[in-house]
Amino acid sequence: MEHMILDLKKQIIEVLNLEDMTPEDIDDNAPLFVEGLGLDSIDALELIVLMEKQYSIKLEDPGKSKEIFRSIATMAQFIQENGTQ
Amino acid sequence: MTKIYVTGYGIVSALGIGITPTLEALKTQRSGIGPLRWLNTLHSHLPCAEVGYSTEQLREIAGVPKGPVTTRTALMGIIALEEALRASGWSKGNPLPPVLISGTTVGGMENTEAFFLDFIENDSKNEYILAHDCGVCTQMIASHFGKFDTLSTLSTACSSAANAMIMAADMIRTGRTDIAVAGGSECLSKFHLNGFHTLKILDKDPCRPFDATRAGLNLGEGAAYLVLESEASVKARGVTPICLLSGYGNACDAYHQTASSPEGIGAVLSMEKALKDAGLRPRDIDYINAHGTGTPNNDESEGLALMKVFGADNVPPVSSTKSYTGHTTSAAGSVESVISILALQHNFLPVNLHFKYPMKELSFLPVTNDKPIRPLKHVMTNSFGFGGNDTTTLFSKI
Amino acid sequence: MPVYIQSAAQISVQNPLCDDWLTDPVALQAPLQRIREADYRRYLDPIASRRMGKILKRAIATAVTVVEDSGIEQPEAIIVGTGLGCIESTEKFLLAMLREGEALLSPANFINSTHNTISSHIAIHLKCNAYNSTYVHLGISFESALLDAFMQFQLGRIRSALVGAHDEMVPLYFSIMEKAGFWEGKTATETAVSFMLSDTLTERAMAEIREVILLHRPSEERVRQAIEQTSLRLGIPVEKWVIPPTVKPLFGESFTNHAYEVYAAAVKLQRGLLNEHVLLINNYRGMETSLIFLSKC
Repeated sequence: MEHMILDLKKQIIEVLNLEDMTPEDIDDNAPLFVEGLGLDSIDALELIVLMEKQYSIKLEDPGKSKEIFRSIATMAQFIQENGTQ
Repeated sequence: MTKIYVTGYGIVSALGIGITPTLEALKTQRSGIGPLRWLNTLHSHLPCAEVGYSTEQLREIAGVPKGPVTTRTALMGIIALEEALRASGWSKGNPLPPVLISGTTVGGMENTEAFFLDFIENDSKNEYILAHDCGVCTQMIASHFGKFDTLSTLSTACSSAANAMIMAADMIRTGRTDIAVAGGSECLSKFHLNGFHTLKILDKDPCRPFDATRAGLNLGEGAAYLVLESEASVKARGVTPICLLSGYGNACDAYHQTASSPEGIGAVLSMEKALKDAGLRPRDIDYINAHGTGTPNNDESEGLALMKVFGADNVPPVSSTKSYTGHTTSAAGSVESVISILALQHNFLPVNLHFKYPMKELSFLPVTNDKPIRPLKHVMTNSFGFGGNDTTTLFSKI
Repeated sequence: MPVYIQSAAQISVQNPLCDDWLTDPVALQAPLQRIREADYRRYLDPIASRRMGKILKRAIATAVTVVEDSGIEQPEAIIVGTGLGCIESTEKFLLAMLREGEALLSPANFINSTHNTISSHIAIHLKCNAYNSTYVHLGISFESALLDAFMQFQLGRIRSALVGAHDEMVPLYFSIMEKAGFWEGKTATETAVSFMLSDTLTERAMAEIREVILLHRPSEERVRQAIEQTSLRLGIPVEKWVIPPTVKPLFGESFTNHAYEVYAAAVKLQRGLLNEHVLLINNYRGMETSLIFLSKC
């Protein structure tokens, strides 16, 4: 799980182009959207692409993805339960 | 302030080529949205509103000779522009209006996306390279007719054509010209169909603007141009104007690259500016052709903005004719201006298709009955673009 | 209503956000020289700029600079001219679509491919709801934006405007244009210039914009007529207009490089390095011509 969290953070930093950030800067449980990291609706769409590309998880409705994308921890949990790498 | 008259209009959309089939479709509630026929894409299951002719057929209709590089966008533009010019009393061989301002965003992308890898690897299609950008598209449209004195190209995404009309009207108001032609043209491209697809705002079914179950937009394509003219020129030429371009407003939502602000601040400002420009009160407006894309975000935000500007209990009849033409993106401002003018001229309300379930956030329902309760005198058209480029135009009976 | 250039800022192949090029010019390197970047962290935090390509960062940095210089925090119009817009994002999205297929594309590159993303980013950054527009007409994109701003002043709608010229050039697209014979041995560069215009004559005002004219494939006679009519209207004899030497050898060429001519003329007028009245003529490939008339403040 820890390994996957680190991978996930690296992938997020890359696809969202979070220059100057390192995995250590992102708290596992901090909110990703609005407060916390401050991501927005376009980032959510990028994360949907990431989930499909990296973990073969198809998420169609960005609205329903909100819970999954709440934090790094919730994303990792969801990937562990539903994904194939 | 100089009055701006509309003395000609022309339109191409999925509803047909020209004013006549457009009016017929609006009155009989015939939508142009359906399965894709010409555009080759993985997303062929998405309904779109394609103009019902192949690019080759459009070339023949436009009377453009085979050989020189052209684009579907330019061909649709030529056809719509010719109709507009002729309606204003122009005929071949006579001097053109001095100014043409056109709106487009995709430009020559339909060729670029077809040949880009060839540009890199084969060099067999290099004549298309410099036909990529937006300005070339305007030049192609213009050069079909002869020589305009001034050309320019606007690109504010889905409000491009509306802003082109503003630029042209301002050139008349500042005395730079007496007549100007303005509008926009945009064909479907794989590029922007995919772009909208990545944003997950394309509905798999025909769009349902202002419906609680709305799930996105359908892309369309088309072109429309208006001939705008000063009062002095109208008198000097002895032409009968169609209506007035009585006011316009442009504001920026300044909120987000794609999303509208929840309260639609840009939309409120552009509508208020247009009303002020025209010297009209909200209660003077008899019909509003909404931007109404059918996405959850736009229709809620625009609806709330309408309630703010007009008062929750006094919103005039509103419909989105994107349920007929699809979202013609850069051309939407002029396509929907022509539709609003037709409503004004023929005194009917374009019915908002596929409406069933009211949105709980809004105090009003879109138009479902085409009979107006009072004769139409002033109509409003909203055109909003990504980045919050919001523009409103007003047309009035003379 | 008079229109003054209150402030102007450039990022280019010369040292960014300053006038070093006047005394200490950097030599151009053909055939393509990218811009000498400024330090954008002063203007943008990494989260705010996560989706911004260089062209957007340059636009924000030059815009914020003229806002700070002029003290006009909320311009009443934001208007941008760009020939190709964010061609880097456009190219990325296009290549991904053509090489990897249509299934899993990234939305950010599409969003940044629309030309008006530059002016809307500036508006979002300045939280400015004012008039906002974007012109994309080849080599006179910038002048179209300037004309729009000038008309907004003339019509009394605004008292200030932020006008920008922004273009980027990436190696692949450069080479493709080269194949079509576009560059003709010119040095391709990029453009990032912002101007703050206002109707108020202040101590720091650099130059006055007297007129902007766009002409499509004009004859020599048409150009002469436009100059004569403007001179007559402004009450300035035709022979008083000085056409300064081009600054293309310093700033290179892009669709919007003419903005550097206006910038350089404004700097020189302010420093008394040019005579009272300046005429800038841009002839873009024989297709589009612009005339910009400037006077000393």
